[in-house]
Amino acid sequence: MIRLAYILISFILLADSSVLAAEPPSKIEWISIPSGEFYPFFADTVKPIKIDGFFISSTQITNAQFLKFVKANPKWRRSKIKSIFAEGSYLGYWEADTILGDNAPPNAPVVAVSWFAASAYCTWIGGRLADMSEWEYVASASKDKKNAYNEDSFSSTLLRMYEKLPKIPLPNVGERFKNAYAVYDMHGLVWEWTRDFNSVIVSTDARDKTNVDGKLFCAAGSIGNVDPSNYSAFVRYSMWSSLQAKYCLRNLGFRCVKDK
Amino acid sequence: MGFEMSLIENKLNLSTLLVLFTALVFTACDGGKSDYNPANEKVVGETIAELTLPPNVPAPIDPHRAATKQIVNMEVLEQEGTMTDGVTYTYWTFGGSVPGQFIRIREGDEVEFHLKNHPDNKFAHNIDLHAVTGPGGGAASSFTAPGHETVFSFKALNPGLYVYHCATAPVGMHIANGMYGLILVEPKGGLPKVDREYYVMQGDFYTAGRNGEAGHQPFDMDKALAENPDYVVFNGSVGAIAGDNALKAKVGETVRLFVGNGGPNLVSSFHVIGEIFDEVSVEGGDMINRNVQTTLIPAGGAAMVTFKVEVPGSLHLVDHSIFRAFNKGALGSIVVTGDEDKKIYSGLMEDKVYMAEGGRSLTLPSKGSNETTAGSKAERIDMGANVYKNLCQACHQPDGKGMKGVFPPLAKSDYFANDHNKAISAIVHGLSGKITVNGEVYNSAMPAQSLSDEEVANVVTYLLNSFGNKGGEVSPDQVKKVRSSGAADKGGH
Repeated sequence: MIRLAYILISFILLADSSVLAAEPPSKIEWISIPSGEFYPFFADTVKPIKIDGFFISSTQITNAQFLKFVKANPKWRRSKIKSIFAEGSYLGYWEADTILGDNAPPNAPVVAVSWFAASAYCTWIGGRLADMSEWEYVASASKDKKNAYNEDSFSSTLLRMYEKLPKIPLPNVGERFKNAYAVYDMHGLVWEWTRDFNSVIVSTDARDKTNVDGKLFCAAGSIGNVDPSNYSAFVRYSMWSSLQAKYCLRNLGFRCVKDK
Repeated sequence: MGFEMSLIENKLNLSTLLVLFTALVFTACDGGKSDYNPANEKVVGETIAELTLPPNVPAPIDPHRAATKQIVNMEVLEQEGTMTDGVTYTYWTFGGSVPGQFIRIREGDEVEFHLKNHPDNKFAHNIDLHAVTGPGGGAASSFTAPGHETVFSFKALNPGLYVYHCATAPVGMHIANGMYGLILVEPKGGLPKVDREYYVMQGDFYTAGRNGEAGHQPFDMDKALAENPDYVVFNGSVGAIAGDNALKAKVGETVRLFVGNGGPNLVSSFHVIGEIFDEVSVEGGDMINRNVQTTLIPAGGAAMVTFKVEVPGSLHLVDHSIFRAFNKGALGSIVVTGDEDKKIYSGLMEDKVYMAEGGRSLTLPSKGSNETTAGSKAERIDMGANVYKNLCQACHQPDGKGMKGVFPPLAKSDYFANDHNKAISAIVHGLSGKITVNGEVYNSAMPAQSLSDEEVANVVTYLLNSFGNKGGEVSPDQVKKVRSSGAADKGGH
């Protein structure tokens, strides 16, 4: 009897400690990004966009972090969310409303969240989603250079990372690609929402040059963009342009920024 | 002035011609195909279109079938596949294969197209069907994020064989990864009946590693921009329609190939070794060309070729830009079985040695009297080494070991070890017939070499002192003697 009690107690202890160990660092680490200039690849002119300094979360928002949000805000739970804010696949890989389950490791990035949900999360923690140019500004850093987009090798490295994007269950954030700003996983883990993801591109045919947005999409090799060989940028922008704010994709997550 | 006048005259003539021509066209229409207009044909009922994986095509359409609504369900899958033995590649596919699933409809059909982008895919995709009349060939209405489905519909107005492909930025990359296929729009009443139909599509691939480099090979953007592919293949991979996967036919059957070219870059010089195309529907359209050896298939284009197979054997499909076929993979086969017909093709009748007149088939520029002569044995060996490299090693190999059964070895050779004149004779007179070298029988022919006495002396001396032979030296005088004494030994011991 006593032995049984011991076994029970040790079971409880074990279970308890494993829960503690799995508890992720819920605190978001903010990285300071200095002001600067950014040359968008789709621009007509070579005039740069001025970027004011901001803070960006060092990793994408994780399942565990998002779980706290839905626990605190029931209306963003899978069963409660309004259909105009998210399509049916919202958090579909979680076990239940407030249970992550095997497909959602706590430290893996949260995906299958709509733009509305991502925006609501960032607001909840006192931030916002990054603008596309802010996002690209940070994403243009290679491992050791803050602006590496004009390097051919960086663009092809990115393409190869995109080819090998992982599938659910996803690996943890913060363990793969760390760039010169010390920001993790800007490439190669999951795609990310931006605040203005659909503001630049609405063309659905990559070769349409008849409308304002066509310049982005004429087939690479055209003169409508600054660097027609920047295939990695084409890939990101065409991904963003295929989205609607309620979409929930299994390889699309987000991170937040804060103004300085 | 006179010049202007003649211009006006020309104009007059032209407009007269135009009137005549218009009249002719109208007459032709009246006399021909009534006034059928597929755009006005009523659509009756609906069916789910049968789609097939290459090299198969759906069955021909019943010539009496009314125009119907065809529902096409096509799923985009990004998946790893095998490019060639030991080499994998991440293909982007329409329906899980490269080329994508074959679609077969008839003019007048209304197609409701459902494009489904698998939730595990990483990229957005769309589809441009060249058979569509409308913006982007459907691309403008089918841009689909992963985990989504788009629907659009079109009326098939023009019969023909058409390419479809993905047109999402970066377009080149989507096509280079395999996003293309064929859609056949049969004319009303159908195509002429044949015994077999197959689906073949060429494509060029650009990998980080060069052709044959093992492992998973990612797409290489620089090579794609330079249009310098590592692989040019039929149906997505090396050997996809060769060996065990070869297409099949029987003697007497008529074969129709639906041939497309996805590109993204190369134009195909499509040819079937051992056949002549009885008919080619040029560029997949109405024009029929007959008795064609090689037909050009542009990137983003197609052709239908038909031919009757008359004799058994293997027919080889190639891009006759031939390095692509033998070095980059553009090679497929049709295995034809059945009875031989010696009247059409005899097979090998005879194989015999051919020696050009005088036994000399290699004539090099004759040497003048100012030829450099060797001053020592060492110099003779050096100069002989050059002769060997230029002339001999192509057959006898750089290491002198020859090729077993074909080219006798010169290394440790027992053939001339005790009689240097046999080596000299082989060079100045040539050698044919059966000989035994180091226990191996050779029955072949070596042509006489047009070398000076000095050069022969040099190369034989080089041989005697290389490749483990026993050493020695031959003088130009000795060569002269062998030359004047005629062919001492023609083999045949």
